[in-house]
This record gives sequence, structure tokens and C-alpha cells, in this order.
Amino acid sequence: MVRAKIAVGIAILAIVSATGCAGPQPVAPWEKGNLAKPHMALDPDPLDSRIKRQVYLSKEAASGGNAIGGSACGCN
Amino acid sequence: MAAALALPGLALAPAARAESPPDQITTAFKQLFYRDQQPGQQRMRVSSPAAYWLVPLRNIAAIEGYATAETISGASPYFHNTLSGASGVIRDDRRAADLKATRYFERAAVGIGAAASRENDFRSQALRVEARIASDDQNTTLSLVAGHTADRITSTVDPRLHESRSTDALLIGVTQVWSQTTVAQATLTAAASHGYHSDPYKIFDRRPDRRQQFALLARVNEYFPSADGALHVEFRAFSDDWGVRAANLELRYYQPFGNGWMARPSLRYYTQSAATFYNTTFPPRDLAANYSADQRLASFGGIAWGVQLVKQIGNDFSLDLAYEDYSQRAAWRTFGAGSPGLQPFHARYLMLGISKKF
Repeated sequence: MVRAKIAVGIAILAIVSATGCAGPQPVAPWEKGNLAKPHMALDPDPLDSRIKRQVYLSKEAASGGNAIGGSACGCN
Repeated sequence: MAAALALPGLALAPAARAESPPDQITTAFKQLFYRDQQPGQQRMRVSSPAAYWLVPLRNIAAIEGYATAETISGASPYFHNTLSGASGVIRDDRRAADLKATRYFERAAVGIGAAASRENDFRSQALRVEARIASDDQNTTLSLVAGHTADRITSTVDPRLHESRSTDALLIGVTQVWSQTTVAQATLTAAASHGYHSDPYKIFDRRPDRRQQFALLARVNEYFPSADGALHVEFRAFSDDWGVRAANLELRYYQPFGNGWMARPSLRYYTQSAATFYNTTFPPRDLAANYSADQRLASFGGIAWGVQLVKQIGNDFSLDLAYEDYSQRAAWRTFGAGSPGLQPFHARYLMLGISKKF
């Protein structure tokens, strides 16, 4: 449990550090080249994400956050 | 049939870029090989091909679709199942499809989608509408999605069972270009369902006929120019009125190599508290009260690690191979004790994929 808390704390630090602890900076269209790279897409592999989400959905009580409106499953 | 109800979901998180239709047809196919187990026993096996396509229309619209055909066999995680043990083996075939049409405008997009799935004992239909609007500089995008799902539940062991359930869900989100190397997104999802939520294959399983769920998701993608790599960090918090409180944190790192290769290791940690009516006392003392021994409603933690390898061939064709290992333990729960006596759970799966753009 202690290790899990440490891991969560590290992850929070990673998120905060990734944003530079600063507000958003204005970015011009010609400055978005890096953001347009395929591996910078919010979902670079939609099919992979969907399959993994289905696995977690069938084994955990929590769901949602990424999207809504798809059909459910009788995961028993 | 129904187990722990999920917020019905379809991929496609709101985009961070300008609202413009895709300029290429994209097709992808994956084959999933999945197996899970508990101590001393093999459980479920799933073999599932899945297809995805994205087709632009006249530069102002796009059609996006998904289809899968799952073959599920084995026994669900044991706990007072009527289908558990050597006498009860599940064989189920699930077919699911999803289709969405999106119309693009200068700084906005609207879409409508429909989905359906069918199993031996479960049918589901869903409809949703989506809208996105971007700021003038297209660095900020607001998203709104509303959906409705209707399920019909029967049972392969009880022909008298004919139940239904409906769910209404709403998602609002904001995507923000944070810097030249950072994009962030936050979404809030709320869902309300009413109807049959119980699992007819688990003895005495009796769940509330209503459920309200909330999920808050935050993610950040950070690009590292020196390595041409990208780190994706995703955090989600979940709560419902069944007493479940959950959170998960996932890290994925994308690292291209030479000659079109890319590796993507991933690590995910999940923790949840039990539903208030989760109870392993057997038989239950009060048959009129809500009760479930389904371990998916227990308190536990889960750790998943995986890796994906992608090989780009030319500009438009790629192959990919992914492996993931997922385990659950009561002792891995954070912010509280895990459910006593919970059997460890372990799943592994392999995905083979191809993708082609036209």
C-alpha cells in the first residue's frame, strides 16, 4: 500500500511537471508540428484503446471518461 | 446479461486539433487472444477479431465504424456462480458494431452515432450525439456528448427471465493545447441507469434497480523533441451510488526507432472500493436485501503492464503486436483494505493488428 501511494504521488508529479506548472501558452498553427505527430494524438490507436477498454470494463466496476454512447455488454 | 454495469463507451476522444475531416481512408484490423485465470483454474478465453474504419466524405464529413465478433468460452470468476466449476462452462458469441457520421465546419463538428451488440443472453442498442467547437486560435476545444442505451437481458439457464435496462449519459470535455509540446484534456461524465442490473448467473445476486455514475478523466500528452518520443499520462476518478470509489493511473510511452519501428510500453494501476451490498456471506442472511458476491464489485487493486510494437511499412501500411498482463489482488487496493478472501485474478492477452490508409 505504501508503494502504491508513492507511485500515485510520482504520477501526479509527472502530470504537473509535464505541464510545466504554468498556464497554457498561445501556440500558432505553424508551431503545432510536434502536436500533429501520430504518436501525439490523444488516441493514436482507437482500435487498441477500445479493445483494452472492453477488457477493463468486464473486470472492474468503474467505467467511463473516454466516451459514451456505445452498446453495452453482458460481461459475466 | 448484466454484470457490473458499465458506462457504455465508444472510442474517439475529442480531438485537440482544428476541426477538419480526415484526408485519408483509414482501415485497421486486430485479432485478440485473451485468457484469464484464478488460482488453480483456467477461466475465460476470448478470441475476437475487430475492425475499424474511417472514411472521409467530400472533405466536409466522415464516417467512422467499428465491428467485432467475440467468441467467449470458459467460466466467469468463481463466487457462487450457477455456471462455475466443472459443471458450468460458458460459451457465448458476441457481435457488436458501431457507426458514427460527423459533419465538419470551420471550427466545429457535429456527429451522430449508433451502436448495437448481441449475445446469447443480452442485446444492447445505443444512440448518441456529439458536438465540438474550437476557439479562434483552435487551441481550445469544448466537447459535448449525450447518449442513450437500451439493454435487454435474458438467461440461458432461466427461460422466464426477460428484463430490461436503460442508461442516459452525458460527457462534457475540454481539450487544450498547452504548449508546442503539450496537449491536455479533461472530461466529466455522468450516467444514470435504471432497470435490471443483477447477474442471473450468480446465486442470490440482487442489485439496485438504479445506478448513478460519475467519472472525471484528465490526461496529458507530452512530446520530447530530443528523443522524438511522447509520454501519455491518464488519470481517472470514478464514483457511483452503489458505494464504489475507484481511480486509475496509466502511463504510456511512445518511442519511434529507425526503419519505421516504434515501441510503446505501458503501465496502469487501478484501485476500487467495494459496493455497499458486496457480501460473500453465503447464503445471505436477508434474501430481500441487495446482495452480490461478484468479485468485480469487491475492493481490490489491479496492475497492468504491456508493450506494443509497431512496424510502419511505407507511408500507408503498418503491422502491430501488443501484449498485456493484468492482475488483481485485494492487497493492492489503495486508500483502504481489500476484500478478505478475494481470489487473485490474472489475465493476459495478445493483439495482432494491421492498418492501411488509402
